[in-house]
Amino acid sequence: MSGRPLLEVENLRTTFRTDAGELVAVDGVGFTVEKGETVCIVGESGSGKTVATESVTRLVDTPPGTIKGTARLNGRDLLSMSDDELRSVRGNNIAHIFQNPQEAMNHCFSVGWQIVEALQAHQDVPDDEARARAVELLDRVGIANASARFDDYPHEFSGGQKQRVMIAMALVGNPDLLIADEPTTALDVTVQAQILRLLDDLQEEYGMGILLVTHDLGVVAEVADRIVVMYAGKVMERGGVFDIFERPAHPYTQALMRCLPNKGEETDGIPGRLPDPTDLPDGCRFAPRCEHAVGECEIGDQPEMVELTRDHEVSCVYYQQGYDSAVVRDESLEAEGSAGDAGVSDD
Amino acid sequence: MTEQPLLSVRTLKKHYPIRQGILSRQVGAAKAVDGISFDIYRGETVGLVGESGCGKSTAATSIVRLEDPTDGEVVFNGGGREDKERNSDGTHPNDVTKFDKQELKAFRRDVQMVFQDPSSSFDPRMSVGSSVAEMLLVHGMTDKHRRRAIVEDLLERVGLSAEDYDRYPHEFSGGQKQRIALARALVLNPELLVADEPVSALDVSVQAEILSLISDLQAEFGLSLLLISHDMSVIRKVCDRVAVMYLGEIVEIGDTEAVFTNPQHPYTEALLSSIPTPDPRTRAEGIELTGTVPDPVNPPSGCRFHTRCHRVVQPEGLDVEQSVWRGLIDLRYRVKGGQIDVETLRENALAAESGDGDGVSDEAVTAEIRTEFDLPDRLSDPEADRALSEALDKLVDGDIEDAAELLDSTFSTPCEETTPDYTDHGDGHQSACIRHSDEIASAELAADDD
Ligand SMILES: Nc1ncnc2c1ncn2[C@@H]1O[C@H](COP(=O)(O)OP(=O)(O)O)[C@@H](O)[C@H]1O
Ligand code: SF4
Ligand code: SF4
Ligand SMILES: [Mg+2]
Repeated sequence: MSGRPLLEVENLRTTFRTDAGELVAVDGVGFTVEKGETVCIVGESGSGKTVATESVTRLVDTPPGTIKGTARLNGRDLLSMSDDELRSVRGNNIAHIFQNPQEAMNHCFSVGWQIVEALQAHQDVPDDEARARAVELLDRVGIANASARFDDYPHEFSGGQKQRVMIAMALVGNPDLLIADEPTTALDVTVQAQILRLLDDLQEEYGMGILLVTHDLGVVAEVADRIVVMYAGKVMERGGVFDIFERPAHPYTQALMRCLPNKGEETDGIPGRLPDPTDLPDGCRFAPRCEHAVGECEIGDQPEMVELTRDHEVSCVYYQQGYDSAVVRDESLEAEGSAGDAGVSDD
Repeated sequence: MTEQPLLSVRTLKKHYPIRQGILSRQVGAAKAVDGISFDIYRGETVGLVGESGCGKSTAATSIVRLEDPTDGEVVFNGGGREDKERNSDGTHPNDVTKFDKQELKAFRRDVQMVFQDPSSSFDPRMSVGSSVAEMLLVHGMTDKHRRRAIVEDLLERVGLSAEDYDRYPHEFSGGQKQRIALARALVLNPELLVADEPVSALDVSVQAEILSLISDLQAEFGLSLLLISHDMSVIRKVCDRVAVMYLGEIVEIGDTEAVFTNPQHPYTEALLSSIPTPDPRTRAEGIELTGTVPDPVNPPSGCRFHTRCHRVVQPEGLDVEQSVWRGLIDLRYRVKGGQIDVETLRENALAAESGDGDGVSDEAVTAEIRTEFDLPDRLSDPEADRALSEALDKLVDGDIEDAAELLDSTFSTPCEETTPDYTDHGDGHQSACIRHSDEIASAELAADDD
């Protein structure tokens, strides 16, 4: 019997009440994260990545938001548990880190005390013990001379160091799942590499599952085991890292890949923009920007997920029965190896 | 080629005084930009790249004189100032740093800037069209209808529509606002555009669109462009030449392709290799650059990069594995800075031993320090190992000063003694690393031979 996944999200739907009507930010999203693995959610900004992950931990304010569906962590549904239970899960099982660590820190307290506070919020530990544990955590995340830096304030840390501190704070409860929303987007590549390495080491050490939100496919290629491609609140494609990078099936995934240097027929961006989330199109959400769209793409709901191979699924009519998927496949992207100049011709 | 550059930056410096006390006495200076030189020719795009805090933005604001530089020259040969000779006293009539008020006003028409955050650069109460048109008004165009016609035309050229004239900033996305910022920068027909991280705040799919718009506009308007970015892929996409900055200095400059495919400075090499490649089959192969850019108030001596450089040169007579050498220098600086926390190390060692509770031996702690700095149990060079062991013993004994002194004298690098000159690699490709100087290069070759 294979155990159940660490996190199992099903049919997640998050809407917001706005002046312009109901805004559908996340619409029937599902994915899983296994213990010890890294799942990346990718997509343009505004596609619902952040709302999806913040719905899982109920960080989304309700109202104006409404969250539906299930999100089971170790089998317990986070979306239907009481606030008390949720608080305990947030402290002990799930941790969240964000793009801008400074916004998540309190500027008036020393970095060390913020960690101590986080520790004591969930565990009954005396001050000196909490302090020792905080120093240990700071040291573990690579803050040099941790005990001396304990009393320093957030502004005395660089951007990369602040993100390290946030990671230390996240580790306080020995979480099973770490949710990281664009954790390296604001950092220099050199520091980004350090932080990614740190997360990787910690994952090995603590066996955590990581759910990473990012728009950077370079980062995804570096860390992902599996990938969820989101567009306008829907999942377009799901698969292992090699499925998505070497056999991208969905026209939207392919368009993202074509924005990369040395990938297929390189393009400059994806023409058009995300649909208005208060006025979403019928059919496939990507249809208004899809070069392959046919009449059927614009009626009914988002096409059902079709399983191509184990764990590789796509939502596009061309993979359904009666259609020829060769029409949307892009062989120039499937060419193995990196810089091949295959397929640089016009259709 | 004797073509005159549009812009010549020469040994430009910008130091910010650090003041202290009630008398605000100056106690030092942050050397944000410390003697950079480069040229921009007409129609050319030059990139300035480096980590945050290395002085890129200060360079930009000093060049356009949003701030007054501390020293150096910025010669601008545009705006009808072509072919001017130097004055008899050696100064240049086109030196922006010496422009008077009137010259500056003209200069501010010919040189425009675009910033990172398009949201903060517009007045929220003003329609975007009026924001753009205001530039024309300030520079003397009184005809309202003509202003509107020009701006509407420009909005279309940056991919928006004439109707957008009457809309307000909040009605636009980040990418659209950056288009409007470009329209505003171009409305006065400048010769040079300085763009500071113009796409960093935008989503990747939008980034690509804005970058190709910038390239198109540049061709269309015959613009020269100085593009500042911490993102190497952005630089590679649009720049003809690139200057790599580290801690206030340019460490490498050259044609973009040459610098990217054949980097000569270790810093450039490290930056390039930190870019995650969008290929899941080549993971974590990069050079890992430890630490961050040091404080520009006290930049490291000699080559400023030596505190982080993976190729930092070993002193004559020493020959250990390069990664071990890097670890030794890191250790040395951490000890010197009083940044080794023997207590935490003792605890780590205790946790690792997980034996009896009554403390750990000093040997276990020194072993822990070696592990922390990726040093082997024994250095391949016996003499060096003796010095290291002795220093570590002193350190664990709490004798930090002596430990630091011993490490200092044993593990010093030529890179901290010599300020590297530029070496020419052909076609204007230059880098400042002592490994390219003749002595070091031949010594290294000799070392590689054994
Ligand atoms: N509190 C909120 N109220 C109303 N709309 C919101 C709120 N938070 C997010 N949204 C909207 O939800 C959509 C998805 O946003 P987001 O999850 O931030 O996307 P991503 O993380 O992929 O960039 C966007 O249209 C955004 O404007
Ligand atoms: S369903 Fe239609 S519109 Fe959607 S991705 Fe497939 S072809 Fe394009
Ligand atoms: S001079 Fe020395 S420290 Fe500086 S870049 Fe060259 S090898 Fe590295
Ligand atoms: Mg987001």
